[in-house]
Amino acid sequence: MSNLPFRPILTDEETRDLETVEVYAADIEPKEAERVLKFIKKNLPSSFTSLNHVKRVRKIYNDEKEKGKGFTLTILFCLTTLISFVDLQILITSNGFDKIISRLRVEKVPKHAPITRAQFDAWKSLWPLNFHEHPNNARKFTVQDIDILASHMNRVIELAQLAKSKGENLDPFLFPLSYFWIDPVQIPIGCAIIDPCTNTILAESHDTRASTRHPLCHSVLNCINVVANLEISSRQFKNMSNEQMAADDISRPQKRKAKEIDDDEGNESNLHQPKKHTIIIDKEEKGEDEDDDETSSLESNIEIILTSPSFSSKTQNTTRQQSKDAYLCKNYDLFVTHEPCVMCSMALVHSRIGRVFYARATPNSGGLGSIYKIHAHSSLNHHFRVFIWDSISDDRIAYDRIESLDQVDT
Amino acid sequence: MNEEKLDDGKDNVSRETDHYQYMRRALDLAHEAYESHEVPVGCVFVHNNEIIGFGRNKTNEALNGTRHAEFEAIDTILSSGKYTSDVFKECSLYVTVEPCVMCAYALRQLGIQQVYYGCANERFGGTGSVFNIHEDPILLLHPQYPSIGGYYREEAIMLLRKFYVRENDNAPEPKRKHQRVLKTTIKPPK
Repeated sequence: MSNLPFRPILTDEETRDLETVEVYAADIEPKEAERVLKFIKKNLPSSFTSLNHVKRVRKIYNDEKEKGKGFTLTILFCLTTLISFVDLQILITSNGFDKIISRLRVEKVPKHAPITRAQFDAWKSLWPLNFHEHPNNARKFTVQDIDILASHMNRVIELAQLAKSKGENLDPFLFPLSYFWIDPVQIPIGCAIIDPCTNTILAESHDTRASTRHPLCHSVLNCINVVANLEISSRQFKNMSNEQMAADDISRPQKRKAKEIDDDEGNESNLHQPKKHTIIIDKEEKGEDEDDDETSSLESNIEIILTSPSFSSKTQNTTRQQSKDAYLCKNYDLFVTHEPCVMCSMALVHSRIGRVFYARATPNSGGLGSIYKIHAHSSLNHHFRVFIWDSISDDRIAYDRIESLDQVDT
Repeated sequence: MNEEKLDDGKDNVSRETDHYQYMRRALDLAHEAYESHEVPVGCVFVHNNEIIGFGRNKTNEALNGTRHAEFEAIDTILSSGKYTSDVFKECSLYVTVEPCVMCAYALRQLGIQQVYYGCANERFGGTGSVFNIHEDPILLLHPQYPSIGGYYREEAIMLLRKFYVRENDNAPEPKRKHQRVLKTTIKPPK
């Protein structure tokens, strides 16, 4: 893990140190284990729902060097909060178990289940633990994976620079986003959503707050909107091609194919990745009336899909076979130059994003590590992994004034 | 929860009925969302005693989990060409359900004056139920705003319950809910 160019933003549960609770324990001969466990199950209040991660029995070899010399077991009874020591002694004696147990005492065991391997390794010496690493956490990144992820991260930095060149420039006098601002600030923030299964870039965007005069046109929300519009047009295309297959009429898509894409960003992005269906939300698009906006972006999406080589008439059958529609941004990765703000972080929860990679934290508004950890909040219904790419140096993300970052929501 | 600081004693009665009038309109929009198989939430933005924008949840239709009522309304207001984003600094929001974390911070960025809501949002609530985005002092960049609940609370709750006992075919794995029963008892607010 230490060689990775990024590190996970861990939850408080994943980073917490050892906390302990007290439980009653006693030594027994191995052959008595079954009887004692039955006795515990029958007579003592069950505390092991909250201590499922703690092994009930610990094996202690009589001679660590020669394991053949036999062992004894230490068995756990229950949390000390559930019964007094005296009551437990009376219960044990009255059932005749005082003859087969020895050294009834209080032991400390880890209070919480270990979530990371580091916690497991640190805590297991206190008491043997069960540990089931979440498959997502256990997943190792190959060198190839890292190269691909790095190329996406480099792409969003390019998008941020594109935003800057387009003058996504917030002037506080014309556009008072924040009452804290004194100087005009450049906010070049780039973002992309990728399907990691096919390594396809589904959406690219940058911050458009300045050009749209809309304080909520953050790059992440723009990207989510592009994915939604793509899915709408993809479903329309599916319906369309289904109808055509039925009518055995393929003249319509060919007509549409003749139309040209007049989107320079779309072409630009094709330089970097061959497989791509990209739309950058532009101010014209955003500024329009809602209904018009939806249909116009829809149109351009259909054209892009139809002119893309992977959607030629040959592959219509496979397109049709992908009967399961995409659900929001489920299982997709999001790359963004800056840590998403609280709004965008929650938008990613609503969109069921798979993973998020960002390059710079935003200490005054960040929702994925800086102020809150919305990606792992216990009361929210969707959790995802977040990684910070701290190997990317500050100057790669072109802020005119680096310190102004702290004044911006991303 | 319903207590509100009123600057002028004479206006108390009329202002309180105004709140319910605006919330009535928001509820109508929530009903419209329900009829369209959307999560039944509606809202209106009020500027100088005038509704300047309204919206209702459209997440299913838009295939976009962020198209909440507030965002629908905000986008209509800003795309109308009549207002700049400064208008929200003099606006009140009336929304049938407490804004979620996303909307709560969106409203803070807009500098909203105050928020009135119907029922609390125990799952995503951003103005008191789960997070305190509206008044968390650690969020330095934008002003805090008050968020007051309880306007037509019962009706908002019943509408949500009706929605959630209905099956959602848009979910990736739709749950069969024919055994669910619509509860009609409502506990008092916390």
